[in-house]
Amino acid sequence: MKKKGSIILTLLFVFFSCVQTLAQKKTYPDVTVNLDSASLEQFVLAIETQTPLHFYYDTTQADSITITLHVQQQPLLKVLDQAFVNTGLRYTITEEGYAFILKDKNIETAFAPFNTDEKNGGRVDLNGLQKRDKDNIKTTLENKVYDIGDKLAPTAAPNAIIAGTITDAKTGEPVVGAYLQADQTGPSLVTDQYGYFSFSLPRGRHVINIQSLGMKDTRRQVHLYNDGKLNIDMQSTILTIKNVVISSQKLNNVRSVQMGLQKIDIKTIKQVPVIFGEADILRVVTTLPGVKTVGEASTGLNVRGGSTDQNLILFNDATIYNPSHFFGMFSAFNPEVVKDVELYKSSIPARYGGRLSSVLNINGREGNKKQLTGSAGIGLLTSRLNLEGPLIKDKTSFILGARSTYANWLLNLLPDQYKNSKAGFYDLNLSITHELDKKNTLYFTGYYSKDRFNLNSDTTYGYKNQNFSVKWKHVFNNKLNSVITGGTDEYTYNIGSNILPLSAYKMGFDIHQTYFKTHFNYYLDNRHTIDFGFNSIYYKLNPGYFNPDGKNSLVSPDQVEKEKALESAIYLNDKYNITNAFTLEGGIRFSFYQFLGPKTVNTYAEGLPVTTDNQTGSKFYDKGKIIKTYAAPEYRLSARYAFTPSFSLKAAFNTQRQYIHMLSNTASMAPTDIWKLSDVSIRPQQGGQLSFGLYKNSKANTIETSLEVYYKKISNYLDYKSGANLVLNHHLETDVIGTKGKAYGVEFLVKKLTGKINGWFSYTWSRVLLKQDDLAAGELINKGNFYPANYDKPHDVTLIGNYRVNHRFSLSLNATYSTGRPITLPVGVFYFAGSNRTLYADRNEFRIPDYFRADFSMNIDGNHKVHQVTHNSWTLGVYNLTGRKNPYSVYYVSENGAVNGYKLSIFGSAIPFINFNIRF
Amino acid sequence: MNKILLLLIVVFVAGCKEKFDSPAPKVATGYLVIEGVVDGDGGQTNIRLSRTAGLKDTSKLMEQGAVVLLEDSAGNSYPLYENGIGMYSGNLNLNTSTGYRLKINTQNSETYQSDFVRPRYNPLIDNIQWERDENGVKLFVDTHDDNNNTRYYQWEFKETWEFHSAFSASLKWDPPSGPNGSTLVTVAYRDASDPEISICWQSEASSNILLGSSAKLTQDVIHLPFTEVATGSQKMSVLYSVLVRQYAWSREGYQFLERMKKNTESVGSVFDAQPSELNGNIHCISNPSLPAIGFFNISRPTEKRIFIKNAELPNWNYNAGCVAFEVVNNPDSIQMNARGTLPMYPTLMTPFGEIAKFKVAAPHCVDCTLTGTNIKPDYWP
Repeated sequence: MKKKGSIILTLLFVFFSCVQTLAQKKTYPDVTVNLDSASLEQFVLAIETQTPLHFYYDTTQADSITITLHVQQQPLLKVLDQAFVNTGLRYTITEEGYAFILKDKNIETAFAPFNTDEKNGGRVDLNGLQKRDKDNIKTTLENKVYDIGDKLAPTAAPNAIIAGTITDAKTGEPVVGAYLQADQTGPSLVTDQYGYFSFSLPRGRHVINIQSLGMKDTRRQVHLYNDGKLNIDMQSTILTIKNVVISSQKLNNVRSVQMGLQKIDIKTIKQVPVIFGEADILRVVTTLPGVKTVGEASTGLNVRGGSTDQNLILFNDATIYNPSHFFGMFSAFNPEVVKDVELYKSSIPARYGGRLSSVLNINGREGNKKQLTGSAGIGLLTSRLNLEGPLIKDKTSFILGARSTYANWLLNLLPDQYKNSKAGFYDLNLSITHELDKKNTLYFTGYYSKDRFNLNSDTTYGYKNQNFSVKWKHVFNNKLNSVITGGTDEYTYNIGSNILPLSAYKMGFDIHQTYFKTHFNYYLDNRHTIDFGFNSIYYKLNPGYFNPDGKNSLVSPDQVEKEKALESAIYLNDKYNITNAFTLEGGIRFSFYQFLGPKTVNTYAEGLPVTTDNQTGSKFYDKGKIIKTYAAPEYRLSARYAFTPSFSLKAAFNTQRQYIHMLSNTASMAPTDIWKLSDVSIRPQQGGQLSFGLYKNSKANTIETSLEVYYKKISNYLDYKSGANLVLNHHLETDVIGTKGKAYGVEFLVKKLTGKINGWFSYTWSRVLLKQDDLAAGELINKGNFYPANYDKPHDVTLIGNYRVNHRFSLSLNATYSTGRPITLPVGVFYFAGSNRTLYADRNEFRIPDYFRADFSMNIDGNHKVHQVTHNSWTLGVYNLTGRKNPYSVYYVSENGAVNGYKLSIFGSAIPFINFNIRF
Repeated sequence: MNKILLLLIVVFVAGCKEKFDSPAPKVATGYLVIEGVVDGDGGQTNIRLSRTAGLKDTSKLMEQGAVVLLEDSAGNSYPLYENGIGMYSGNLNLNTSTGYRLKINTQNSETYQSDFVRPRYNPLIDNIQWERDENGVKLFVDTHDDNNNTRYYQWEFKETWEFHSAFSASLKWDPPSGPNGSTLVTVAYRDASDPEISICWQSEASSNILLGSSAKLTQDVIHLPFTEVATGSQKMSVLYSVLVRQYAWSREGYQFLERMKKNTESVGSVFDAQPSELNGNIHCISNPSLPAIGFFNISRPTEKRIFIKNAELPNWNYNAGCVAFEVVNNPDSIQMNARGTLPMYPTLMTPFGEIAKFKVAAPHCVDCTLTGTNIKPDYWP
């Protein structure tokens, strides 16, 4: 017991020491040593037999040390000095006769009166003492040695497993993505989204260092006897301590096997200036390399040449079909309830599937488990309220976020012809986390967003997202845990007009999906981490209805037949650490899709284009009958080789399949875009991507640099035929064509997320080209040649910069430049139906002028006193600082017989904004 | 959707619209454009042939010297004759039970041929209605097909209106060119040989493709607003008339017109559909890669005309914005004060019966033939 106590104390002092080897007053007997190339152990044994001293040292530090020494009856201290010369070993001897040997560390003993230094003239070092008091709790936990596992249990295997959860000591929320490193050279890992970790370590003593962004670094000392549990609380950093040098590995892109993964936390998102000062998750995502958007009023993402429907947007496991408000002006996520955002654009984990281009995983926060807190914000167009707190302290917490607009005042400023217009949106988020016991946690998440737009009170547009999910996390044992999720996602769109009673109508469509997911995580050993699971989604699509509104309406009700399908997948993924430097990750996902009845399916003459002329008849399938099955494996492979701890090379190969398609004949993502399931004629989209990347971290990992190259192939991507009718079409297959596509590019990113100056710079060069050359499929586009997709913008440069002047004041600047998007331009005129009309060139042959925009904002925080009722902050800024009239689109109209070209910019001047936030 | 976009732009006040010149280089196109509907019931058919021109080209390139004919499935041909530059006309009586196709041989030896098309029934226009609202007069066309068979309609309309000069004139300049700084100008009384300049007519044809479909309705009934005349407009200052001509189309033909309308009347905002290719039912068979723009259709047009009197429109408040002023009748005064005007009537006579002073006004206030014609249309009441 005593020995152990000493060790703890000593280590405590190691932590704060700043003194050289100590001079000891006590005298010891002289010693004789005759050793040649002896180990430290032999040397220590020799000394211990001649003196009453007991030595303590770390054998791992001593294994490379050899000592050759021949001395006769020399003073002990002199012998030790002589023996350790050039070995880097330092020693300390306490009053009680304990001697400690450590490598490259200066040691300070426990008691101040003895804690003197010759060079210091024997003065007492008080700094160490004061500091000790301050960080008492931390140091106590850090220096305690935790016994893990049953000491008496039989110990056959050399390794044992230690697992647990890391939580925020203040809020009780799990710390996701915390980096754990066992010993200095031992295995490392990252906590999962529930803050869970599991290690396989040799039995015995270990030090586990834990680091996480925004948290104070900490560590735990364990003695591992057998499999066991260790839960760790981390303290968040309230104030940034000056001159903190983070010298070891934060979780970084060099070490992970994932390629093309970008993670941004909400703090970073909030400091990027955006239009009207509304922190906007999707807008910030568009500043990442490889992510593009067609225009300013569009939050549709085009990731690495993918179309806007090829992104799986998950908000706490719920699929969000329309992630925007106000027809694309704002994204539909309340920043107050979001923790962070992950974008997978290259190596997509096997657990995700169903979309070709990317997975955008938006993780919501868990409510504060300790106390009730909240925040509120007021902006020009929206205001927000967020409340969180415990329902049962330390067990159950909730977080509620609400956001609403009051844009009507803006509409009232409009000319009279718009005075009856109304626009509004709101969104609600509720998450409840309940910890049943240490091994079982339940999560409930609800999301609701609604938009309504009323133009001159004659036509009403509206759309809404509705999502609900329940998740059960269960830890079987230290090696195996599972997450089971079930939920429903719904998206509905409707439009109606009743200004002409004869043709008053209501029209719309909706998507409904119910899903069930099980995911298992198995930590086999240090080398293998295995994920496996099963997903299933049951789709129910109502592709469109058109109904009369009112008694006088002559509108004949029309209903496109409902579509149903079941998409399932099983997957297995193994992360294999071959060596510390070389890691492989291989996954296979087998997806299985069944298009189900009841449905009448049109049949077409074989070998002929699918057109109404070639329709041979139709066939009715009963309820539940399988109309068409598609099944295929998808491969997810990636590898990392780390040349040095801060430089690595990665490669990845991925294949994907997508069974649900968005049909749009507009250039951007619009709420009117309808969704369609794969059926007999419309095959699933397929994609494959090969990518390579170089990752280099410098300046103590504060600067991350990466270069990624990719080549992608897409097939069966749906494009529409000329003059296609996509709305209420009972034979949609005749109006669309499957195109082939290829996309390739280079992405360069430099990122610095710490320090006074932080931010990122990205440059992307990329192309995305489509082709429709199959005459049998119908008409050719651009004579069957490759043509650029709408979102093909080869050059893209973005700078996001933030300068923290002090803790309360920061400045942000972002600048973005990109090549103008392709457009189909007129090349000629002709006279028809009383007017000059335009003749268009090949599809997307020309481009609109290049895009450039710079935005600026200032974030001003109130004082940082921890104990006050409210914390206030202001955001002021200017959007489009240079006032450049970036063309949003270019179009030609025939006006009074003449053909005139116009370019339209949405934000044609600098727009100032202000936002006020309050936290309580 | 473009309405919404427009609103968004207005909302975000900073938005703006500017002229844009196409960076597209001048591409030689010169594709054949075929316009016109064949009247198979003996009325005059006019098929207009022209060529597409470069964007900056203002000339209308009419296609002259082509051989244009209709051919039935039995191989009988029905020629059309060139009647004016690029216009090919004829009076044909076609059989509704067989199909016909259009054949064109151009001077530069290109051969075009359409798909076979049957003459299409076109119901009569039931009514042209109008409604007065705060903005002006809104005009509606009403039509229906008892057989619920026509479904796809196109309309053209031509507005004609009578209007009067703001001031009537009994005087004229002598010589008629009026004061211009050099020649000696006097005023003289107008006589019967002088043209009528106070009552005129003006016409304007529709220049947009006007389409309507009842395909989504249970009955083939159409009630569609086709134009609006703003309050105070000269069009209804005296007597207004509109002639609406209706055509029936097949679904494909209607879609062709719809595509053309979308392409040329509302393209460009991100929410609008992208321009699509204009493939009609006429193909160049001598060079299949050569596009031809047009859709061959046989449908006897039906017409309806209505009149609207100014008296039916209280408080129409038409104001031509004309001001008269007085000029002393001597050559110097006329040269100095009456340049750019027309004389109207004497306001002061000398004791010898000569004109001492007279009133003048801006020419368009006096002479309506400057903007219209003084020839009364034969259908005018």
